[in-house]
Amino acid sequence: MWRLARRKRNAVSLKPTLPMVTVSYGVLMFAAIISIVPFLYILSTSVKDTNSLFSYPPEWIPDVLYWGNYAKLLQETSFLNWTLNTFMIGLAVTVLKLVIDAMAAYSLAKLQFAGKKTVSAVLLLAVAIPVAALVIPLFFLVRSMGLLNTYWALILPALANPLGIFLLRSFIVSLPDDLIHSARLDGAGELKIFAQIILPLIRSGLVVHAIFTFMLQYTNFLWPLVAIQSESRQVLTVGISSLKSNFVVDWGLISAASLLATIPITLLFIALQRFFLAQSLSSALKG
Amino acid sequence: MTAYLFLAPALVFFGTFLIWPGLSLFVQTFHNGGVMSPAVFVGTENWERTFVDPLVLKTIWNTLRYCLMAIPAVFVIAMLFALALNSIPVGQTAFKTIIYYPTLQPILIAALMFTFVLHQDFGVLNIVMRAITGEPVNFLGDEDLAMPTIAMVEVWKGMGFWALLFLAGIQNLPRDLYHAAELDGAGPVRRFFQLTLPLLKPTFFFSVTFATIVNLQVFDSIFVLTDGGPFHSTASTTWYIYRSLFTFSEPGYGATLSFVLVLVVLVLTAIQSYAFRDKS
Amino acid sequence: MNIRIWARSIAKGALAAPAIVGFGLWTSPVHGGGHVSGDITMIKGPHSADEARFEAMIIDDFKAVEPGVNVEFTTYDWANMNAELTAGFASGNPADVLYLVDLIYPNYAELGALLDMSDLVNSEEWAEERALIPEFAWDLARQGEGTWGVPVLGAVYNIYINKDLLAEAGVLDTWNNSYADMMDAAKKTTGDGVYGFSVRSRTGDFAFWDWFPYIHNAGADILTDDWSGCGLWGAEAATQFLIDMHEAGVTPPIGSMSTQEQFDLFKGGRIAIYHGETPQIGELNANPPGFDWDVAYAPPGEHGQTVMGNFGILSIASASPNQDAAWEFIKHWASGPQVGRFAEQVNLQVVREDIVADMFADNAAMRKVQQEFVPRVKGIQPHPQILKILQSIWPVAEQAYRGGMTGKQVIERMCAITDEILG
Repeated sequence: MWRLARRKRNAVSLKPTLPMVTVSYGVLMFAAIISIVPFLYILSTSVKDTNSLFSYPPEWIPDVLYWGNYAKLLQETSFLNWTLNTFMIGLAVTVLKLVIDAMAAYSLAKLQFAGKKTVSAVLLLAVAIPVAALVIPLFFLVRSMGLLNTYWALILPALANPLGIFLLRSFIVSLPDDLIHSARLDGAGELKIFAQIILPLIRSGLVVHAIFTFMLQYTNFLWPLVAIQSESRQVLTVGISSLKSNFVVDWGLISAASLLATIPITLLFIALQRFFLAQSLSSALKG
Repeated sequence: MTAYLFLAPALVFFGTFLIWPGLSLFVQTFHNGGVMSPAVFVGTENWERTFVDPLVLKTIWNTLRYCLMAIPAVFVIAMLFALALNSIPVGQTAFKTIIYYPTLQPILIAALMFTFVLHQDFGVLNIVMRAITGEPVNFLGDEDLAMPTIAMVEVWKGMGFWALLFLAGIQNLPRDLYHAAELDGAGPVRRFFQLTLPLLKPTFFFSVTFATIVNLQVFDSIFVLTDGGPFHSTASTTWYIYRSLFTFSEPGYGATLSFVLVLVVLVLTAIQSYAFRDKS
Repeated sequence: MNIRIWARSIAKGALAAPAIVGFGLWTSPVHGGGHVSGDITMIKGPHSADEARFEAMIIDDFKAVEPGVNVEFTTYDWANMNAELTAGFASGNPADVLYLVDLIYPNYAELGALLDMSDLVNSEEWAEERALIPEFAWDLARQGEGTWGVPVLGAVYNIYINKDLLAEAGVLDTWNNSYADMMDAAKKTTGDGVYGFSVRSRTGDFAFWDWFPYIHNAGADILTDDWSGCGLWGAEAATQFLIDMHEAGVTPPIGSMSTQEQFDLFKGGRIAIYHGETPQIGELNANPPGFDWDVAYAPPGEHGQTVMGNFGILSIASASPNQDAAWEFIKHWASGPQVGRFAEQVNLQVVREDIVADMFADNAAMRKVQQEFVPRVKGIQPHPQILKILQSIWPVAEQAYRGGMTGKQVIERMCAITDEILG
């Protein structure tokens, strides 16, 4: 059983040929450039003391670097609060969702039960309802629970989105059934099979799911906008948007906020990758 | 029994925060008001209105047009990136992080970036266009280019996510088959089309369904970049829903439009699951 | 930092758990509870990045007079104000005092979300103050039977001119005598990276503000005087003029720039006649461009020479449990010293007439707008559906500016849409 599991783990990476590696680096350099260039504009704007998006003639690298936007952001706005809120909520949702969705995905992918097709269909159908439209009924539901303007208003509804279940199911479905059968013959319970065999095998799927869930939380805008009234409990997206005053927009401040906002999430992204890679290494050694 | 226990936590949240609001939304389609003023039952008035409102058909067409541009583009690009990521010996994490960077941008920030990128005089894309054609391109102002530009922004935002997903799928494939194929003398291109693509079918099925559902709800980038303009050429169905619900205070009509969109999603996902059915 | 809020919220979530499990069964509404203290909340869209600091000054002064009332200041985001305000009203616990613009308050008034302030503003103790606000501003705060707020601030949509460019072309003194002169000036100043003329075109930029003076000067308006139907008949020629301007090639490529980007272009000396808003005066004073500039308005039409203005009123939520305190605070906010100081801080106009003479002592452009332009202002018609009508008809103009449609066809289509909305 364990051998089977390990055999399955080995990723497809045949020794690529030199031309393939060269082409790959070329493609990735291109990808990196298109990902990064827009960010350079923001970097440039964030160190300028101006209310213009552009000055004529343009000044890409200002003569004097102006740090006032960053100082103002940290001193005069609730930026740090928004960051903390966003991360606490994002982490809470991600951890809870990984567990809940993986369990459901295992059930749908590998267990037999009556009404399986119906459950799948209903789950999929519900995803089709536009999120923007659900905001109003959700608002009244959360209000009736007395959770408006609390962090729970941002955490609990996020757990309902079933897309993650389908994502993880697509990973579990491709695992061979023998794996589970032989474990059952060995006398392992379903919980043990789930935790010790399935979860380690779909690690790459779990990483994608975790990153995706966190990202959805992090970029969520409309729901926090209506569910949270207190500025100090607000999340980053809404907070940054609130920095736009009417008529004359302080682009320097917004650019600084945009830049700072991406630093922690980038670090988290890297940390998540490492965490899962380390896990896979240690379990391989144990086997 | 165990199967139900495994499903239970997901279903509790799903039922409370999705099915219940979804049902309320459906009830709402037969009413007017109900948000700031009491709901008034109006029968099928809202549903009838969707049939005579020319903007409904226009927004559905715009949404489909958008999906046909954005989804194939983002899949091809992301698959290319995933294959490249899978073939390099070092630097995978660094490249993954950089490519994923656009996906992490909240739309407000992405929109700000694209204001720069698309700018008539200084935008990097127009610097390139001027060098090639001598003329800048009016990306968001031209009614024929506005929707492709929205699609471009969404592709930029989405490519990192899909690349990561496809990479995870590729790395999950059994290695022995590839060795066998290599022994048979199959080159990398043939291996890709004869092995990788067919083996990734579950991933693709999920991806296509998922991408369709998500992209049919395209809204954020439209809201901040064009607000549906020029003259409704980028008006998506979700944009119209938002406008009915919040700008025009017509929750009943907005709810009805939501279910029109649900019907479109249903038809499309049904077609897709037929296309992806097991041909055994 | 806000660990305590977290702790409290976790406790609250634990209490809510039974409600989640028995989903939908537990739906008893939670009421705001009876505040007996004088706590009130005010919500407003920011007119400056320093809005909170400016509001704190007003609130501190208020505390000196009314020590028993605590005012909490919050903001909504202009781009999403409808969603945020809707949520606030629907929560049953909206802000007590709301700063609302004339474009959106009528809808909320009709839905019953706002307090009819007729008795308050007409009370004898406030009569003197009331008389200082001109009747045209009160008209904007009235709709149906009620008065829904106290008009406090205005933003004028004025034209900015690059005097150097116009002088070079020899049209500085004539450019806005007539539409023909304006066209002439725009053509003469266009060229070499310079555009003679710019107006907004995007619906998302509320482009209709720039169009209003032209149709008002032609004697037309969105609705007829009794608000019973489309009032745009008569605006055909004025609309045709704006279409011609775009077709003459004197504007930046249509739709290529937001109003903000057009303003950057103006500041760079590359637009001769730019349609903007008065708060931009602050930016031009703070970072003077390398040319002489001035504020101006559109040429006269057959029915006069008006300026577009957009007004903000201070309203009280009908659900507010503390309407007396809210009214006291509004009176304070609207008083001469308070609103005057705020308007100077953010470069907006005031509507009360007593303080106008002393305002903007060292800000020539603002003084000109306040003293010369504001009396010419013709605002919008605060019909409950006005925002819906404007956003529904504007795409027609957006299309027409790109050619292929006459001014007459534009008005016909706009009127068809308007009449359909009015029912």
